[in-house]
Amino acid sequence: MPTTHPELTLDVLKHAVAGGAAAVRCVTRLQPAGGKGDKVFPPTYATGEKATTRYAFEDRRIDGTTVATVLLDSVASQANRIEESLQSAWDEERLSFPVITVDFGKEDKIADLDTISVLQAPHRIADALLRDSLDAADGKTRFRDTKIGRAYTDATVKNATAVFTYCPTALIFGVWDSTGPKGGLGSKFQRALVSEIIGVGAAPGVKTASRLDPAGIQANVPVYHGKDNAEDWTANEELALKKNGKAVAFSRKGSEGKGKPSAVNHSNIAPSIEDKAGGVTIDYALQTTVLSLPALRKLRFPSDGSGKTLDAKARMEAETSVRTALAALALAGIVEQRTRGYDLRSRSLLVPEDGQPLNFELVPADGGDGERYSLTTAGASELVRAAATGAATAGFVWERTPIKLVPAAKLADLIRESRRRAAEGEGEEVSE
Amino acid sequence: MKALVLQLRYLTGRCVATAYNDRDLAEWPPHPARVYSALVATWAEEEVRDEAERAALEWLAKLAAPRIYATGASHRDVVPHFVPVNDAGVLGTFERERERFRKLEDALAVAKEAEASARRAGDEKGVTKATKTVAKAEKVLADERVKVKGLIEDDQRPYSAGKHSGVSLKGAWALLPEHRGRQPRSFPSVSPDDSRVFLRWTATADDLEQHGPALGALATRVIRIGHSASLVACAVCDDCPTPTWEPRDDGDEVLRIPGPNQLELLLEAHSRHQEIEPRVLPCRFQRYVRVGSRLQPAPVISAFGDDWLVFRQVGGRRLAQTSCVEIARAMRGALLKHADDPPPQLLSGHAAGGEQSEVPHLAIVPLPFVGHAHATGDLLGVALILPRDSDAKERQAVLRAIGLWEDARRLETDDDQVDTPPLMLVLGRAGEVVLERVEWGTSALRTLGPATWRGPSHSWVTATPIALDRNPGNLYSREPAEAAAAFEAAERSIATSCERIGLPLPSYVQVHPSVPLVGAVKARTYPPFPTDPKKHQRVKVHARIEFPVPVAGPVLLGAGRYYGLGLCCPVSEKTRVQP
Repeated sequence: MPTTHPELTLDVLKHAVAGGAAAVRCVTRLQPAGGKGDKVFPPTYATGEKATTRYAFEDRRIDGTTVATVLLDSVASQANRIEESLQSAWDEERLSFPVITVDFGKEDKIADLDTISVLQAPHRIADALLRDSLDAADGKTRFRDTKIGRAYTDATVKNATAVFTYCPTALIFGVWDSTGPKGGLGSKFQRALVSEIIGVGAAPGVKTASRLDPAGIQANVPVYHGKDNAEDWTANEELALKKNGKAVAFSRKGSEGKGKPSAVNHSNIAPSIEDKAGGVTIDYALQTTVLSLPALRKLRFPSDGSGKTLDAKARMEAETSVRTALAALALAGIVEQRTRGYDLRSRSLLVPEDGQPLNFELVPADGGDGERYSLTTAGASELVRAAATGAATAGFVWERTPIKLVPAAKLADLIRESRRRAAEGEGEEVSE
Repeated sequence: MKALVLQLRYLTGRCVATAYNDRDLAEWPPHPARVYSALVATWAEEEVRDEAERAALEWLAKLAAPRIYATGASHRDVVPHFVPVNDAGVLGTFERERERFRKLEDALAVAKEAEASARRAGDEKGVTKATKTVAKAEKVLADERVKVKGLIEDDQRPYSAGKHSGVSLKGAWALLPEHRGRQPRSFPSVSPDDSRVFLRWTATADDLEQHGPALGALATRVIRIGHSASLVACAVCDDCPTPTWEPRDDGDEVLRIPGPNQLELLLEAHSRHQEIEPRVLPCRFQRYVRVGSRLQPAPVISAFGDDWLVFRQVGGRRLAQTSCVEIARAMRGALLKHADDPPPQLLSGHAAGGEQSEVPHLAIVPLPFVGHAHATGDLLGVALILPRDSDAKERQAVLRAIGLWEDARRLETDDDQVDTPPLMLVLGRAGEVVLERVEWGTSALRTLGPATWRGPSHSWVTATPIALDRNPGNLYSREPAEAAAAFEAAERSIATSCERIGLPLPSYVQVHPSVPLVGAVKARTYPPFPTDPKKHQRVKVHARIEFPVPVAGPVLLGAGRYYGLGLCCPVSEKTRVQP
C-alpha cells in the first residue's frame, strides 16, 4: 500500500526555501504507455560510423549489480518540456504568472505562427526573436528599448527584481544574456531546476521498416514524367514526357527508385532492419528532478517592484517570499508535466508507474533522508497563487498586464518571403 | 591532529564535469582544485564578501592535499548535443549610434552640473555662459535623439520588393524556434555508485575551531560543482568513510589541487577572463593512488622525467625508426642554433670544458608506433625528455631555445597568430620532416604521450635497440661458446646501463635475436651508431628486461639513450609482443 504523504503547504515550502533544506527532489518511476515491456525510442545522437548504437548508454551500478541504462530525455529537453507544461497551464489559466509573448496573429499570411512566448523561445527572455520584436502598444519601440527590456538588461543576480516581475521562469530555468547590449558581460542566471529521464535495464531492439502497398502495385511497372506537367507522373507511355523519342523515367529528389513506382510512394518497400536506433525495452524509466534552493537563495532583491530599497529586516522576509514564489512555480511545472504525461517523441509515451503518487522530498542540508510531501495539480495552483500573494505583500508583484510584443515589420516580411520562396521551390537556403 | 571533512552530495545522482585535458572525458573523482574553485566562486559572488570566510579559504589552500572518499562511477556515452544559438537576427543594433547618444547625454549632465555650480558660486557671467552651453547640449541631444530614432525605425521597415538578400532571409527564418541553428556541444558525465564524496584535510584543532564554522557556512551555499546541471549539497561534517584515494607520488591518477596562494590566483584570473574568455584553472598537480589496490611496493622511477615536450610529425615523408638518430641529431642541432651561447649543458651534453657531461641531459627521442596489432613502426613524432632532477634555469634555457625557434618560424611563414608553427628538420638524404609542438592539454596520439612509455611494470622490452656501452664480443660467432659469452656480456652491459639511469639491477635480461615488439625493426637494419665513422661503433641489440620491482619509465638505455636508441616499452596486456 503506497504511503500517502501530507500535502505540501506554503509554510513548509517557505521554511525550506529560507534555509531549512538544500533542495526539493522528485523521483518518479515511469513505464511505457503501452504497458511494461513495450518498446520506447530514446533520442538519437551522431555517434559516428563505428558506434554500435545511436543512443547514449551507461552501465550503472544499482543496488550492487551493473545495469544498462539509456538516456531517454536530456536535461535541456526536460527543461523545454517543463516549460511547455507551464505554458499550457498558463494558456488554460490554471496558473497565472508573467509571460512575455511575441504575437504573429495579426501578420498577413504568417498568422498561423500564432504566439511564441519566453517559455518557447530557446534563450527565453534573452532570445534573439524578442530582440527583433517590438512593443505591441506602439509598434515601434524595440523590446530591449522598452521599460521592461531595459529593466531586464540592467538586472543582475544581485538585483533580480525586474526579472522576477516580468519573467520569473527565467530565474528557474536559467538565462544568459550573452548577445544583448552588454555582450558577454550580460547577466547570467544559473538554472535552479534540473531534470532528466533515464531508462533502466535497457536492452536495444531492432526496428524494421517495410510496407505492403494496399493498391498492390507491382514493383516493375515503369513510371515516367508527365508530358504536360513534369512534376506529375504517369504509367502511360503515350502521356509521358519524351526525350530523344524515349519516355523519361520519373525521379524525384529524395525518393529512391528512378522510374519505379516507389519513386511515387507506391509499391512495396523491401524490409530493412535498423539496429543502431531500433528502440529499447526497459524495466522502468526513472525521472529525477531537483530544484536547488541555494540557487534561489543566490538571487538578491534589494529593492522592491516600485524601486524602493528595503531595510535589512524587511528585506530578509521579502527575499524569502520572492524565492518561495519561484519555488512554487517550479514545483507547479513539475506537477503539470506529470499530469500531461511524458510524450517524449514518436513511440515514446511514458506514464507514471501504478500506485505511485507524486512526492517531493525536502533534502536536508547535511545528509540523510528528508520529509516527503505530495502535491496535486490543484494544490500546486493554489501554492503558486498563495506564494505570489505573499511576495506581492512584500512589494514584489508579478506584472499583471500581459506583456505583448509583435515581430518587427522587416522580420515578418522576411519570414513571409522565405515561405513564399520555399513553396515555389526556389528557397534552397531556407529549407529546413 | 584532527581533520576537516567536506561532504559533497550530487543531488541528481550525476556529476557533469569535463576533464581538464580532454573535452570528451568526464572528470571523476572531482579534483580538489575544482571543489576549491566552487567554494571561492560562492564566496566571491556575495554582495559583501565575508572576511572570516576569506581567511578560511586562504587557510584551506595551504593545507596538504586531501584524502578523498569517492566510489567508482560509470561513464555515460559522450554524445554531441545540439544547442540552439542566439546570434541570429535581422535588425541592426546601432551600437555606435547608441554609444554616441550616451556620450551626448553625459555631456549634457556635465553642462547642467557646471551651470548649477556657477549658480551656487554666484558667478553671473559663469551662469550665462553655462546656460548657453546647456541649451546647446540640449539641442544637439534632441537632434541626435530624432536621428537615432529615425535610423532604428527605418531599420524595422520591410525591404522593398526584390531587395531581400539570401542572408537576411535565412536569418529571419532561423529566428523561429523550430528553425534555429544549433551548435554541437558535449557534456561528459558520470553517475557515481555512491553520490556522496568526502574530502578530508588534516588540520590542527585550533585551526579547525577558527576556520571550521566559516567554511561550514560557505559550503552550504555552494550550488554546483562542474556544469550548471551538476547540482550539489555541500556541508562540513565530523567524519567520513575510509578514504578511497590518497595522495602519493607514485600514483597513477593525477588530480589538480589548489596551490598555497590559490585564492589570489583565482581572483586575478577572474578579473582577466570575466567568465567570458576561455581560461585554464591555475593549479598544482598531485598524484593519487586508489587505496587498497596498490599492495605491491612503490615503483622505482628512472632518471628521466615525465615532463615531456612532444612534437608531432605533420609533414614530410613518413620515416622508419632506423632514422631515429638522424632526426634526434638534426633536432638537437636546430635547438642549439637557437639556444644561448654558450649552450646549456642540459641541451648540448657537454660540460663547460667541452668534455662529455656526466650528468643526465636532454634526451631527444623519436617515438615509433609499436606494440599494437596493426603497428606500422613509423615514427609519429619526437619527444624532448628532460631529466627528473634538472636545474630550473637550464630547463628554462631549453624552453627558450624552443620558443626562439618557433618565433623564427613564425617570421619565416609570416604567421604571427599560430601558437605552434610548423618546424622544419632537414635530414640530408632522408629529406625534410615537418614537426609541430603538441600543446599541453590537447589529446594526442597514445604513442606521443608519456603514459604509454611510463608503465609502471616489471617487464620491459626494447622498441629501438640498445647501443651497448661495451663491446660484448661477436654475437653472431659460429662458435657456440664464443656467441654465448658475447650474449652474456651484452646482458651484463644492459644491466649496468639500467643502474646508470637510476633503476635497480634487473632480475633477468635476455638479448632478443629478432624484434620483441610488433612494428619494431631488427637491430642490424639500423645504421651505424655513432654516426661519425671515426668513432668507435657500438653494437646494437634488442632485449627483454625483467626487474624485481615495478619500474616507472621512461626507460632509455645504452650509449644512444639521448638519441632515441634504447627506448623501452613496458609490457602490459595491451602490448603486442612477438613470441
